[in-house]
Amino acid sequence: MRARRLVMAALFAALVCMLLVPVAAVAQEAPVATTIADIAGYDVDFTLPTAAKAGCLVCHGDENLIRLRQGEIVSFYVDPIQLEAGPHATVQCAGCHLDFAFTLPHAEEGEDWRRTASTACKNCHQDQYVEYGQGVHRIVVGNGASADADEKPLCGDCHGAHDIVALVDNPEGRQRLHENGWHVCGRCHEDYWDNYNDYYHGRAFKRGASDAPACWDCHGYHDIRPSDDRRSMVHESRITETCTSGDGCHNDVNTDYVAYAEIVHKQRELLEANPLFNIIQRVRLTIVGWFSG
Amino acid sequence: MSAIMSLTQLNIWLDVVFTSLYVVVVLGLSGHFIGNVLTGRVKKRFIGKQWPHHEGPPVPFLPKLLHFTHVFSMFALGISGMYIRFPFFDGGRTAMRWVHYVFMIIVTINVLWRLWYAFFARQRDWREFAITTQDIVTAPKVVLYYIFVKPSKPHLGKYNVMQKGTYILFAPLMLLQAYTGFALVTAPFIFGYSPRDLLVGWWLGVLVGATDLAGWYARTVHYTINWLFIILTTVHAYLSMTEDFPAFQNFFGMGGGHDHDEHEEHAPHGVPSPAESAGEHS
Repeated sequence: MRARRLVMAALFAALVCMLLVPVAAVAQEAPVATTIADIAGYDVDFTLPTAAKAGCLVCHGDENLIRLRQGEIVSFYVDPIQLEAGPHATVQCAGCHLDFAFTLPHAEEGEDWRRTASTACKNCHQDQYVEYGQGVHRIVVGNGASADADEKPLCGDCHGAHDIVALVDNPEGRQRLHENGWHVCGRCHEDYWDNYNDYYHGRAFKRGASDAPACWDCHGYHDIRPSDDRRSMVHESRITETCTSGDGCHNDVNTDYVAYAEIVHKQRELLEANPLFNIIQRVRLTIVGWFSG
Repeated sequence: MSAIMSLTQLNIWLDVVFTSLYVVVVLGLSGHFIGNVLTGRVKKRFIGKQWPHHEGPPVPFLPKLLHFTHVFSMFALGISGMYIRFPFFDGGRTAMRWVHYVFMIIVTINVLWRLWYAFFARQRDWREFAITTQDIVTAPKVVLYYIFVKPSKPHLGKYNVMQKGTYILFAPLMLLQAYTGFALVTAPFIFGYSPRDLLVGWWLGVLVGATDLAGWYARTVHYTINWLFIILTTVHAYLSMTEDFPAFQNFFGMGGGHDHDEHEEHAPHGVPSPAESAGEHS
């Protein structure tokens, strides 16, 4: 009787060992280095809830979410607080990231998923998209497609992405955009940014004067057009209307008054054309030449 | 269109002419100081303590106070005004505008007060500034003294003819500056009308075709006068310090006082100075 009990205990112990050894082996293997290649194709379906962004932010809410891309560290962090404070707090991530792939990485090499996200705005902001399609920044596709399509700005290039701010009925948001003039226009239109240097508009705007006009206050925004286009806000035929249409910029102007517009982007040019300025510059350079040997 | 084109060009011209002129003035004053050193005037004054003599009682407190307030206000207005046209640091436009508004009110009150003092106060001193025939006759000698041709200048009163001319010029310039300055304010003031509407809109605006254009003319005049003040004040400060440093100290409540009369020729006997003839100063 006692021998039978011992045999049973031995069999039970053997069975337990048979079960525990593979588990221990697996447990030991798990922490071994995991590479991106290893997890590529990993199914992240479970991170996509239907009514919240919490799923994406499980990973993208981590400041350490970075990748090395062409020798540069690229952050994939999305600030949840910034996102919640923005106008798109209730929009799902996939509402903009339409081509989101449930795999890691989310896009194949060379796939322009950012472009897709930047153009997703049209699904909600159709009026603005139509206006944008009439302006100089539109991207022509098919026959007559513009060669510089890649250089054309998309919504997100001017408005930002996760840090986007509401502009309608939001003076603070408009002020923030106003302070961001270089990012919105200047970084592409460097010449015009540099020569926007007259006394009360350009210089003041670049020095952060809240009442100085930003580029779009004169040139328009979504349907912005070349200045020689009759529909342009800065076309000679419309400039008087433009100068008086802002938030009380100018009230009673005439064509003589708006001729000042000439100086807005040409102050330096006019200065250099001034004969006395040229004489002084020559004298200055001559004196500097004497001392520099 | 052509009229305003010239205004656009005029803005460029004003910048070039006045900045160049200011450099010339500073160089000229530097040269003048070297002349003072070479002719021994600096040594006589600052080491020998031989300063111009002033007859009459000391300058009362009120004109000194008004002068001090005026100097301070003009500095504040000059810096803030130049910032409004040529912003030289970030984010200061609103603050600088307020500085300009506050000091424009202070300086306007100051000027009106000083004019009242000059003409209507018990110690009214307008005669000290009045240019007489004697002043005009002796004016070339004053100029010759300042360019080191003559060793002394005629002494006819408290101020010489060039001082009088400058101080007299200051009064209308100040009033015009205040007028054109208020004409730049576009915020509604009375019954929805702005100072611009009330000061230039109804007449100059009609003449040139638009209120804002009238404002631009006002701004151009304002900017021009601003440069005249900067230049005249620089010369005034330089001469007051180098020609009569004790009086300069005295005006700012830093002591001063002197009893020498090294460089001044008194008026001929029997010809009273305007101050003396006014009977207000011994």
